[in-house]
Amino acid sequence: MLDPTLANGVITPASEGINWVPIKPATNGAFYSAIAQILIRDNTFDAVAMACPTQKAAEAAGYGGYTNATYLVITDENHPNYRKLMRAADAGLEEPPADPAATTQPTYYVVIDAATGAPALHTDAAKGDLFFEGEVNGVKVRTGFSMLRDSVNERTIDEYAEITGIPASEIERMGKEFGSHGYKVSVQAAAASTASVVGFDTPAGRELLKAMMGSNQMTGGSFPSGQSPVTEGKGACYDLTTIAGLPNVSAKNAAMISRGGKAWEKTDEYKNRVAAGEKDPKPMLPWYTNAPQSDAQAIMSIVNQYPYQCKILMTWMCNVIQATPGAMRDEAIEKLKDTSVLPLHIVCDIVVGEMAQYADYIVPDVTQYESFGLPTVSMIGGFGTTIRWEAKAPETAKTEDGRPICWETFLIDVAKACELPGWGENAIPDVNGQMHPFNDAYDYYLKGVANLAYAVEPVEDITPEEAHMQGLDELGDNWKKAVTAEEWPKVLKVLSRGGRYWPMDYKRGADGRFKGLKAKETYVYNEKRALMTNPYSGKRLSPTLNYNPQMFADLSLMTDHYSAEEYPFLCSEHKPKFRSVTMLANSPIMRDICAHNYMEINTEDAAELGIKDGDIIRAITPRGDVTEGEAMVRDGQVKGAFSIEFGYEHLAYGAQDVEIDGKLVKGDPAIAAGTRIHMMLDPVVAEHGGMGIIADTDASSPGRCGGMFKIEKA
Amino acid sequence: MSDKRLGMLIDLSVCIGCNACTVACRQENETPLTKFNTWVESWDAGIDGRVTRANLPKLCNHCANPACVKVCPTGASYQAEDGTVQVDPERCIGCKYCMAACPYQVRYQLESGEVDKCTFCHHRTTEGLLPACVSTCVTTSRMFGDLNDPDSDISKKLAAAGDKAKGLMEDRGMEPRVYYIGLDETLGAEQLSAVHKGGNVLRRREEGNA
Amino acid sequence: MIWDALIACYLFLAGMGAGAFALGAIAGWGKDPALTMKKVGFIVGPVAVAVGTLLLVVDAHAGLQNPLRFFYLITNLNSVMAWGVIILSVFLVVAVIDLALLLVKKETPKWLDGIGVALALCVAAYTGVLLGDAGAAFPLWNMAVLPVLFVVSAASTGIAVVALATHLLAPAEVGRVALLKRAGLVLPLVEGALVIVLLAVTAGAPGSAAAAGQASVAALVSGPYAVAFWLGFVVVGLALPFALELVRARKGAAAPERSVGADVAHDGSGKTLALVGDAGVLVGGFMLRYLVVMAALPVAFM
Repeated sequence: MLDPTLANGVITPASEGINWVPIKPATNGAFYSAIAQILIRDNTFDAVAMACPTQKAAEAAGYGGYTNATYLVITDENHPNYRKLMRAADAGLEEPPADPAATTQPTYYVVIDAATGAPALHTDAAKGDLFFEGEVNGVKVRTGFSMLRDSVNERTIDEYAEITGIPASEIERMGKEFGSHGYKVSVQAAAASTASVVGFDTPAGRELLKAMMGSNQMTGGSFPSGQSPVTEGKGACYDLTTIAGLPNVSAKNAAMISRGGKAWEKTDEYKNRVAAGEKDPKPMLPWYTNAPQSDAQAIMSIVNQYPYQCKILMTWMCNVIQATPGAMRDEAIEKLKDTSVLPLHIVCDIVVGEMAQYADYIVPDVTQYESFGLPTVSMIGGFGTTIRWEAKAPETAKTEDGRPICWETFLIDVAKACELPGWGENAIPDVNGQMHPFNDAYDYYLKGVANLAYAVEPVEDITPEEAHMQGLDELGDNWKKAVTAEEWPKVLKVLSRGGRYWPMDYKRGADGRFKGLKAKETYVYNEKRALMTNPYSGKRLSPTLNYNPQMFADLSLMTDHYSAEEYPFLCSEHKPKFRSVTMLANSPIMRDICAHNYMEINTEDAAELGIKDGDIIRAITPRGDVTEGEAMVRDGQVKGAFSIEFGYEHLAYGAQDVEIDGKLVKGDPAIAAGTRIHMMLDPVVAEHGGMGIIADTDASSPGRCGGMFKIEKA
Repeated sequence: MSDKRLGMLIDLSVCIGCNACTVACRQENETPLTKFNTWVESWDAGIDGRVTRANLPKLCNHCANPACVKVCPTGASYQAEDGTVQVDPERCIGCKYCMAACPYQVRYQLESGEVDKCTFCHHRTTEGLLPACVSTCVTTSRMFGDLNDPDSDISKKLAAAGDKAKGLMEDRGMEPRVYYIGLDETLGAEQLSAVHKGGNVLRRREEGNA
Repeated sequence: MIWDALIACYLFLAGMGAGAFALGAIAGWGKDPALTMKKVGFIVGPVAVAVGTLLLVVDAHAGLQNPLRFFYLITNLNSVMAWGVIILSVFLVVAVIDLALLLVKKETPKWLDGIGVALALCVAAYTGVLLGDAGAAFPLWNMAVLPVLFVVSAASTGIAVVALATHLLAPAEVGRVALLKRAGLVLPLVEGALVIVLLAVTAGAPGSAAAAGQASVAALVSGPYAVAFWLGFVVVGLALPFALELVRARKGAAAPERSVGADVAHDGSGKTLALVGDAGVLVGGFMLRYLVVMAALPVAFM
């Protein structure tokens, strides 16, 4: 287990076969590059799996996934398609005739067919040449794999060891072991490991290593998790996704407020400013060509009123301002409060946290024991869905017609008032095309449960005796009306079991692969990343895995701005045991078990700084942000970085005094206890007039871990 | 006495220190704030050059030879039919002798003066349920049952564990009936951080070994 | 801390009371009985033990609020405390009867005194056994040493309190009890030796008691209780009374034909020395109980 902090998990003195390997935050790219280098150097990677250019070829060779490692990349700087994967036309190859029935036509890439040594469409080759470098049709090309080999060899194992803080011998050991189990290996990496300004390297490296061993969709390898039958979609009984009369509005040309999915040069602002005569204009906040939606970036856009003003903000059960590193600061909060910046802010939540604190309206929601949900448990490899249902009557106030006030009730009534399609009478179609009403939460979720009950093959009816034992026979007509009389006893059966789960064999094929094999491609060469240019500097990131040091928004190195000697420390956050991301500080029980978190610091670092366990210490960024807390001096923390559990140091959420109807309600300072990382803002964005968090310049995800700090005793 | 002898087995190799047991116990038994019938102690532990995180759940050991029962002058502390150690609050004068005599220091005084502690969820086990901490344990680290029944899960796992299953501080002579797998490794490791009880510091790093 | 200064007071008062009663009885047995001393011992004894017992009751919150529960107190005869309740009760009964006889009839039957002294010994020893039976949890509470140590300290403090009063009320009687002459020199030495043994045994506690034992000793000799231990117990409680007694003994030796007259002759300085010494013993006696209660660390948290 590689982690900056020995946090929660089963690495105990009594457990065997699992080790904690401390790694510095924001250096995962270096670690993955090192392992890839070893696999290539020792030739222990699965060259067959890597060379399969299509899913068809991979499956024929006994694998579950393919890669674009053999696809040729145009490396001729003067070619109009420079940095792109070579297409059939670039190679002078003929494409098969288009399928007139298909809505989208496949793209044909070019590989060197390993069997013939000649260029071929990737769809025509069973196996491509991994290492080809040369000319095809007069164009200088090379394979993505050959570029990967170069990029992971940019540094030596010793250099990677220095960067990651992992001894070279340990990297070698891990590299050897990873390459010695065939496809029966996998890599898990998520959450905070992806949350740095170079966080993209984590999923990129993770996927590469899985593909290099041919482990995707293989039993005992990287087996897919989180499959379930359709519940909240077009299910066995009801269609919960089709909305009759849905207006045909395309979001294709819209700009997300989080500035993702659009290149800066493609924005209206850029075009308008160029048209107005501005040369090479720069945005106030960065745009992210390939990034998905981001709540963290959205909140920064809102407080900056850029790229456009957010006039209505509606959030449900989240506290973005606290969860976004560096965002919860006076300048940002003042903007949130300012109705000229954010005219309408509606929050639906069960608690009044920092975000709800500044809302214009708060709609009370219900807790997990008072509400419904059909989450597929993604971390568990099986097939099935868990059901959360109203185990107790909601305690919120009720509408005039007796429905509990909650998120669903709010949405339904507002949608009906706005006469939106898909709500109220005749809203939900069943499989026979008959329409059913959608007036409360039961109407929706119990139909989802019915879909689950009838999925694959219908469950048996619950026996009256069992229904009685569990008190399910007491459920009222408001429940029963949501499904048919025939469905009801099967719905109860599923409710009584808390979900529906199939044996693992349901997913495991006899051939050692996932039964429901789907096309699974791994990018060795990331074309989208290759084509992306930075909006400030025009620089590009490597399209194959490599180590990227921490950067600001223009891809300049952090250490070019600030002294690494003066600010030698990184930071990381990890999941708290006794809080959630932003909640639970209101629980006296949780506060009793854990009053506050700590600034966790390595024993040797602490000794050098003269810090003792229990001292109050400060971590200060080059921009003067101060994180202060109680030191926990421990060997379970990587050298060169401090760490904290997130979810502490609230500003509001009951910690503060508030005046309600002219009456002062005293806050409880215990709710504010502990510390959170006060991350610096991006100085490059500041130069362009924006208040921006440090973030991954590709994925736009916030730089939660990493940064630059000096640590001193308070 | 019936021939029942209830006990617990905690497999430290799979305890992740999540403290779900601590919370479930608090909810089930409504223990007052700052008092715990069960809790988990966690600390960084060095073993063979590796750094690991030790998690050690603690609770009343329901000893077969309990000092608390011996010293209680009023008979408020007693051993029940099932071998568990219980407190009858109606007899307790609050002299705290039991608290002093318990080598495991698992007893505490209520605001009302009586002494209380873990009951092995007597109110649940007599109804055929598991203690709340066992029932909620996400890794099934905690196992509970009749030690006198050779066919019980706990007896089988204890038999399989052999010498590896041990009670805390057996040399105190209390014959504890909470067993741990991996106790020697856990207590034998070098202490490399403060010891936390839940998330609060129980002992600073300098203050002796765990 | 499970128990605190209140319990330390009880342990001190019970020991001192038992010692005082015993001394009172012995003072009345000689050829030349010291009657004031006897009266002082017979009054201080039951009063101190009764006050101490009252402190116990006050400390038992649940019983205090539900007094009927005290009737359960002798349910479990495996409990040292149950026996303690019996011992304290019987002692108090005997001591009060003895005192009543002394006050009414001016004399007490020797057999009753004898029973009282035996019970006083039990009371003194019991305070040590009480802690000792929790010794599995607190290594400092050593069952082999503590009862003897507490008996010796009970004798010291009992003698000190009676002597102190006698010095003030009837100085002439002080010299009459032969026992007293040696006690002032011997008891501090014995007590000091026993404390050394206690510390040594505690520091050397084996197995799971080792860490708590060592930490308890460290707390006393160099930790948070070091000042109280060295100054309050060793200097004021042992060394000072011993030194003063030595000075007094030298002075007594200088006047070998020690008589009532001679005693009166150097009354001024001798009496002050004696009073200071006795007060020191009492302070030391309390400090001993306080330190043994407070500095003890449980095996569980080490």
